[in-house]
Amino acid sequence: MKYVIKLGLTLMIYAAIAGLLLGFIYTKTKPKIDEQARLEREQAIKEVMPPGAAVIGEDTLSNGKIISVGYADESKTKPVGYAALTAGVGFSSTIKTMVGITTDFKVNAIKVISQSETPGLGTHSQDDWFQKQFANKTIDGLLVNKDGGTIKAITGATISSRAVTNSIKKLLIELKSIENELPHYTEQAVSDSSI
Amino acid sequence: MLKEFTKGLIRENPILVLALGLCPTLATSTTAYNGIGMGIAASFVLVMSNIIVSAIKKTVPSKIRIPIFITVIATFVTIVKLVMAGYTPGLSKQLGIFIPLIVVNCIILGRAEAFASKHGIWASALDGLGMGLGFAIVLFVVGSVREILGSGTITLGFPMLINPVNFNILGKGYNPALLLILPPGGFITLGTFMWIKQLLMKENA
Repeated sequence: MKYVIKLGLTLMIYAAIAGLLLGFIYTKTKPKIDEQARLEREQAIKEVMPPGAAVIGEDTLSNGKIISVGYADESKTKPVGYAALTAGVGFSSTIKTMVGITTDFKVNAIKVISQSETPGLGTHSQDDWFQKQFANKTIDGLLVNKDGGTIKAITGATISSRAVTNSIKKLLIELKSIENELPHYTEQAVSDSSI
Repeated sequence: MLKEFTKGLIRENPILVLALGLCPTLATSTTAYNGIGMGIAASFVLVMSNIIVSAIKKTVPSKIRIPIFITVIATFVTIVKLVMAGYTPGLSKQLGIFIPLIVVNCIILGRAEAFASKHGIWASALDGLGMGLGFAIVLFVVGSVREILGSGTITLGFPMLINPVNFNILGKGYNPALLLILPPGGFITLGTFMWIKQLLMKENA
């Protein structure tokens, strides 16, 4: 019995030292990790936002979704487009995509920001040629060619291509259904800003 | 003493000869850059855990040595994971789950159990460094071959110091042999290198 307690205590001491050390490293690296995540997000938003966005603001919609809104002017009255994150389940991972949308609900540009699909196949979802196809697509145009749409799927990675395409379609439909919640270019806003 | 270092490079290479840690080898050697990254991460963990295990070997009751060794290894793996996420986010994303999985990499526990728990600190550190380098070199070579033939490119860089640069060395007209990027290609490439190693060993003997 005494021996068992001694073993337990020894293990506990080692675990406690390891825990303390990890806690220290965690607090040291956390700001850097958060910073990287923020940078990556901001970079993606900038890349997909429709042209002419001078200021980027953020809005939380009633369904809890956070969207970024690009405005043409400092006083935030003339929105030129939105950007939001969407996710779809691919072949071996959840593929997260930042989507830039114009005010008339067309895709401006997309950027796949995280995926761990099959190297050499699904990872091509991050290639330019694949992502560029999405420009100017409307909700109806968002289908891969195997499903009768116009998005050319990656050879050997239809599942990944479909996951990206359908997740974007889902986002567009979702945003369209709450269209009136999104910041709009309004007559009211124009007269406000002209004062 | 130097023998402890050099044996891991070729004669007792953890992958080619001991055939330990094959899972991360096959999974992460899809590009040269990933191979270097994984090799460095595993080497760091291997050296540090060998040093600590060797230093504490007298205070560890033999009945609970495995859980204590694993605690030591897991601590260093978590440190590597946090540092990578903060400083090389791209690499950390690419390697994904294989970084935390270094904890169960048989090379590391294998060296702790078979070597570090029986030898001094210096010998253990050299053993870890040699084994780690042997692991990293094989990962880099296998990764380069698979990447060049499988995607027609080569991605070079030194994780945490130099950002990866992608060279399209086989040109646009090259039709990549996708098989090599996929798991079967990993087995074929690694098997070929093991075979070459055996051939060379025989000639030397």
